[in-house]
Amino acid sequence: MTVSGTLATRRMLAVNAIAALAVAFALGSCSQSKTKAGAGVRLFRDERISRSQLEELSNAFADRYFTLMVSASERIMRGNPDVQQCRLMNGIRLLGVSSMYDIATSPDTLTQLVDQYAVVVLQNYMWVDSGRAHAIWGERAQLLEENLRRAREDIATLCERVFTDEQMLELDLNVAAWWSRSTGAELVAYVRFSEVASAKGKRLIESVRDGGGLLEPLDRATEQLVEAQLVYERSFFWAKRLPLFANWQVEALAYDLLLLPDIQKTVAGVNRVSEVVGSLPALMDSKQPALLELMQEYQRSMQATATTLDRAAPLVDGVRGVMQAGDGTLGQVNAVLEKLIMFQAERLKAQDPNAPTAKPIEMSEILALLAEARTTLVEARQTIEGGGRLIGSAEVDRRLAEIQAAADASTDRIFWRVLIVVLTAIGGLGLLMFIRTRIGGHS
Amino acid sequence: MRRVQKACSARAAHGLLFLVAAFVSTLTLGQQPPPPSEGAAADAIRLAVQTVPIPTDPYGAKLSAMVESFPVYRGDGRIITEDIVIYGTESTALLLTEVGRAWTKMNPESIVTVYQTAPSSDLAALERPDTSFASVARPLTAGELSRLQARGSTVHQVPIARDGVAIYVHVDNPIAGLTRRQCNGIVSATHSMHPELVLDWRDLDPNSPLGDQQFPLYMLDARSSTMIRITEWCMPGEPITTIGTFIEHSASSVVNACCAYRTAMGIASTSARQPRARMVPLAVEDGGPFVPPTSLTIADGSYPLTRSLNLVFRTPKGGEVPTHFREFLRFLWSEDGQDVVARLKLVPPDSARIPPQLGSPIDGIWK
Repeated sequence: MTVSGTLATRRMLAVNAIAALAVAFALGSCSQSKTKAGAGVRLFRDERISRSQLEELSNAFADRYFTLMVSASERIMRGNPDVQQCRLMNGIRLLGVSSMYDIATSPDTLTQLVDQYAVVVLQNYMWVDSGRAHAIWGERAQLLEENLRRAREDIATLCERVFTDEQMLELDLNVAAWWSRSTGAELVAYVRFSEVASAKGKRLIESVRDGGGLLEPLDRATEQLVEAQLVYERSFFWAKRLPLFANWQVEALAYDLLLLPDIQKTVAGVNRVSEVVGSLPALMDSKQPALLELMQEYQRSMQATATTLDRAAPLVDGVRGVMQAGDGTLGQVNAVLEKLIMFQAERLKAQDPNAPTAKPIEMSEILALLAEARTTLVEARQTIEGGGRLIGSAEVDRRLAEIQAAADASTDRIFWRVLIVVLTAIGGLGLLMFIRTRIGGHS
Repeated sequence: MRRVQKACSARAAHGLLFLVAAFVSTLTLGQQPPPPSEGAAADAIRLAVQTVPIPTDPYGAKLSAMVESFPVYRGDGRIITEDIVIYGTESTALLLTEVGRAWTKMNPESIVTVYQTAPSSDLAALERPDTSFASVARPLTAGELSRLQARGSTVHQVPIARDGVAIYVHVDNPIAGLTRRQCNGIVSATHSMHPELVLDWRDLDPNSPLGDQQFPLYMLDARSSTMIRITEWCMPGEPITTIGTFIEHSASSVVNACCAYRTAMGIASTSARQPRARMVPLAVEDGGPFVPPTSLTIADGSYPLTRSLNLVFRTPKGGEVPTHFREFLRFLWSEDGQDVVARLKLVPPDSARIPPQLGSPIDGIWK
């Protein structure tokens, strides 16, 4: 940015007033304010929120949502003897929170905000207003209902800093209209405002982007560059929270295992789910075919985690070495992985060499995915804990410098082309005026 | 002047620079994140959604009979190409949006656009040249009528649906009912009918299990038609209290608060009702009778806070109603249009009182 700015200034000084006049003429509209707004829009300067403020608030909301969901899910899951209830709550928090962070790391700040708003309002319709949460968890659902409502209040307060009263009504109308047509069976955590909004709703977002609300107008020319630079920061934000999701996925696997009929029989005498979860590795030694099938089901979600982890890859470029990880989340991932490896080895050892050939169960693929997830988690953690702030690292600076060099080279070519066109136009204009003067003089 | 030109050229140079830089950076860095993982967790949720019985709000036989009493819409064979633009109250926005979608299915070249206006500025939209209708949740006052007619035009009001204004509480709240005097004590800052401002549940019911817990009161803007209606009923001329109140943007948000918080109270349209919130029966007099807001009590007018939702439009004095206006209104006054009304938890108008602007159906058919 600074390199580009210097180059632009130097050239601007070099080309003198002719080019300035010509560019001003060609882009005559640029001197007009971009902050025009429709009727009824409040335009007090001190009410406006900047993009960076909004970015921070949106990320903070994602963290706040996480806290609300964790406390609500703890209330439902702690000491709950119903494995199905625990499994469902774990699934909801896994999807809800990962969706919220996914939104928070998406490229456009304004889209983040309306997506967060749409998801939270729809979750309130789905789980709170309909009575679904209460029907599933009974009295244990109260905190979940209250916390989803609090999330709605928080995101509405944030939206009020960006949208005018009339725009807020429009946002609500779009979400309400979509919900009134929905079957109620959709995974609302995955719904995005672009799916919910009418054409008018989409125009509303564009108008806010241009200053027709309380957000400082975004400069269209710089918008994409800013977004690209934010990719690193967002990757960092996301990577810090990744171990959490690996943890919840392992928990989801545990609950699914516990719901297998044979394992249910084994644990019939145990009242507390937490005790059962503690003995999970031992249960896995039972080597049931159903367990293998379940592991295959998990292939997809583990793969998705591995893909998500890839997003942190630019951060760990240039960072080498393996960190010892035997505690916390990584420890849990490792424990499951070790058990699976043992399980696979025993299965192969026990195989009858004379048995007819059967379709193999692709455990190796699952193991590979888990191993990959572990490696990436280790690297991400190492980067986060040891690398400090990544923006400003030599690796990142080098990539940014390459981009700017490419931009400068392109700008250089375009700049001279524009200058030639402008000078030609001015020359033509001068010639025309000269001819007209001559003709006028003769007449 | 020269300084302005220089600034413009600087902006132009910066603009060019950033455009190119943004393009390059998009190619190199701007990778979209993958979607969040679904997997078995999502399957568990889908299963729960399918299997858990959820209380529903049935489109009952009596409401069904009301809808079926309306004529069938067939149109007169002409293709409507004019767009329809409606400005107005939040109470009718969802209804008109959904009716508009249904209308456009029948008339693909006629688009209906609904804008919600700030409270109390709904009629001002009729001054705009692109406005077809203004939607209001109240009858026009004499002053409003004369102002709209001042420029030599005729003003038409067509009822399209009915609803009620309800006091909501959490579904587990056992309060049996509220009187007009109690509502005055709850909502009015000056509480002229009640010795003191009512702030906690014991003030309303000495046996309430919520005891002396205060209730947060959720409501819409004081200028909204919902709050105007309740003001007319229980506190004419009095200001709304600000103590313990929360102003929400939409009726759905008011009701959501009552679904989530056991101690909450809210004021919103009956069409925003949800299974986890309960609408409290109301009584005009202290001794009752307490009337619950239902389709029937709203239709027969026995519920005290009933209101009519209307479309308002203007024509030149003595002039005819434009064809696309008339056809849209006929569609609203048809079985198809009123099906949307009922589906969105509103109550159809009295089908026996067809507004004269619509003409008369032939053999139960608009054609």
